[in-house]
Formats: sequence, C-alpha cells, structure tokens
Amino acid sequence: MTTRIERRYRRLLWAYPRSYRDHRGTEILTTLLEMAEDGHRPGLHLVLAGVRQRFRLPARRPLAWVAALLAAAVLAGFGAAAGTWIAWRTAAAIPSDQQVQVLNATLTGIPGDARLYHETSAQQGPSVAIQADGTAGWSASRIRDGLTGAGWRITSFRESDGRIIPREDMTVSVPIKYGIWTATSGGLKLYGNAQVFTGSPFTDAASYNIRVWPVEPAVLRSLTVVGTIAGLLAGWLLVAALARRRLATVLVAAGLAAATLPAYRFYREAYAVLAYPHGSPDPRTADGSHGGIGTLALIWAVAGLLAIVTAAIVARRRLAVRAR
Amino acid sequence: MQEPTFLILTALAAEPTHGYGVIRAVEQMSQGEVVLRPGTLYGALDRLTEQGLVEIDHEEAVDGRLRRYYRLTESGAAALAGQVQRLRRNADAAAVRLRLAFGGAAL
Repeated sequence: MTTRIERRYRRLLWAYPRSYRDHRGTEILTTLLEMAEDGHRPGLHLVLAGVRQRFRLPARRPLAWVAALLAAAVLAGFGAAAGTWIAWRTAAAIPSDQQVQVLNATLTGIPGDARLYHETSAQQGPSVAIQADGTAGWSASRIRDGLTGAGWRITSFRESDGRIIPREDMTVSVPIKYGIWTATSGGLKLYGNAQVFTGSPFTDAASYNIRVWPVEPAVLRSLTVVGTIAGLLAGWLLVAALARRRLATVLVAAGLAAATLPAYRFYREAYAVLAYPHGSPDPRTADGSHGGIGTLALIWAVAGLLAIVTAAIVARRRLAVRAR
Repeated sequence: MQEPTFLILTALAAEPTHGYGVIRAVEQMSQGEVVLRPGTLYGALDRLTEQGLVEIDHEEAVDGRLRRYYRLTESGAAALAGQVQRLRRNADAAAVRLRLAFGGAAL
C-alpha cells in the first residue's frame, strides 16, 4: 500500500529527469523510506540533487559538451529575442495608418494620403513615420491645435527662420520656416519637423516628417535578460536530456550550428535593447557609446570559440586520465 | 579524492552494500561527522560507476522496494588503496613535524 510519505517522496523525485527515475527511482525511494523509518526526512536537498541531475552531461562525451555550450549560446540569443518581443506586447499600440494620415493632414494642412513607413526601432519596438510634401502655409497654431485636439500633450515646440538656396542652379536664397515639436499621449511619443518656404518662388512649399512610437515598456530590459537566461538554461537542458543518444546529439548540434547566425543577430539586437539610453529619446538609432556592437560581437565570437575549444581539451584530458 | 568519495569507497571495501547501508557505514566511520544525503550518495555512485570504480553486485526486489548492492571494482580498490597511502603519508609527515615542534605533547 502506498503511504503518504511514499507519495511525498515520489513527488520529490519528479525533480529528477524521467530517464533517471526509470533507472534509479525505485532504488532511491527505497533508501528514502528506510531513512524515514530511522527518522531522517530529506526534502529540499533531494530536489536540488534532482535538478542538478537534469543539467548533468554524460562523461566521456566531448560532443555532448560542445553541443551543450552551443545550445546554451544559441538558445540564449533566441530567448533574448523572445523576451524583447513579449515585453513590447505590453507597450501602447501605435495608431492605425488611417489615424496617422488624419493626424498628418490636420497638422500639415496638406490634404490626401502621404507616404507611411512602419519601422522597427533599435530596441526592436514598433514605430510609424509619415512624410508629407505639398503646398500649405506655415501655421504654428494649426499644429498646436491639431495635436491638442487629437489628445496629444505638447512637450516642446520650436520654430525658427532661415534662408537657403533651394537648388544648385539658383544663386538667390529663399526664406524658410523651420519647426520642430515633440508630444506625448497615453504611452506614445511623437516627434515632428517641418520646413516651409515663406518666400518667392516657392512660397508655401512644405515638407513635413512626423514619427510616432511607444514609450519603452518598463519590463523591456528585464524580460530581455530573463529571456537570455531562460534560453541559456533551456539549451543546456535540451542537450543534457538528449546527450545519451548520440545521433540526436549530432543532429541537435548540427541544427544549432546552423542557427548561430540568427542567434548572433539576436545578440546584437539584445545589446541594442540593453545599451539604449533610457527614456525612449529617439526610436531610430542605437547608442554606440558603450564600446560598439562590433567589438562586443568580436569578444563573444572569441569567447564562444575558446569555450568550445576548452571543453574539447578538458573532455580529451579526462578521457586520457581514465584510460591510464 | 574528496572525503565523501573516500568514505563511500571505504564503506564498499569490506562487502557489497546497498544505498542506506553506505549512508550508515559512512556516518559510523566518520563518527557522525559526515552524514550523506541520498541526493549526494546517488550522484557519487553514478560518477564512481561511470569511472569504473564501483559496480552493481546484485539487486533485491521485495514488495515494490529495490535494494541495489554495490561493490568496489579492482580499479576502485586500487584507487582507494592509493588514497590510503597518500593520507597515511601526509598524516605521518604531519605527526613528525608536530613532534619536532611540540615534543610529542600535541599527539
């Protein structure tokens, strides 16, 4: 008859991988029950030993070590990308194309649809940009009222006058009005700029750029790191689970080797996510002031290569020691 | 060789022993200083089996319980003997130096 304590120990043994339980489960359970009869009650330690067993690679299998390192490195890259993707699901949604067109027409005074660009930011978030060229006079109040009327809170607004020579074949400069503004609304940020000629022969010829993007979610960086760690562990556990089957290990290693390129890309993106200045200042560019992505990629590549070579040497040495 | 490994091999030196038997033997030999937990014991037995120092002697299955008895292999016996020599040599060296320094009062 199964006793309560036996059921409890069986549950604790679930910490061990199934293949290990098939081989050793009954034996360990017998030992646990015999110890319980003498008053010993193992608990957490058994769970930790079971978890450790899940990470254990078989001895004398250099390929398993190489595959485990590769899997951990590759899946960490994928995990980072997954963490970033999940984090962006919590961000404010960017307006629909139609809403952006309406806002653009209101602010610029240029009727009709303008060119829209959906872009992925350096932090892998969404952004939408609209570029309008046409004829409409400069009006700061039209822009201010348009933004406020659409629910935006203006955070900065600058306008200035200048003169430029519009074409190479012209020798006379033409007066121009510059405008730059920023605004926020419900987790979104907006940046706009305008160049409007105010004098002949191009009076009221205007060019506007407006971009809208969500504020960085609070969990973006932490989820990227959590995803990296989860991928790292998952990669190692995957190989540890398959390592006793040589063919499976070879196939996994080959598959992972092929996935190194996207993983490398994901690492670069994760670096951009983490190194980006706080406060969602501009969605387009990554901050390259922390050593640069190229240097970091080189360090990773060399470190990864060294790790694999070290693993191979260690595995060979162990084999040599045992062969003596 | 770490102390728990040394004690496990020692526990198996005299006769084939099952898991809990090893735990009790180690506790007795170390006078209660080393109490092996099952997770540690079976991790060590896995490692020692992979290294060829220990092997399964026989099994007893009664009422859904399974006792697996382990014994030292020849390499296990040689490894244990080598460790005994090392420990004895180091212990002797320590005793001699203590005697020189404290005139035998410390021993």
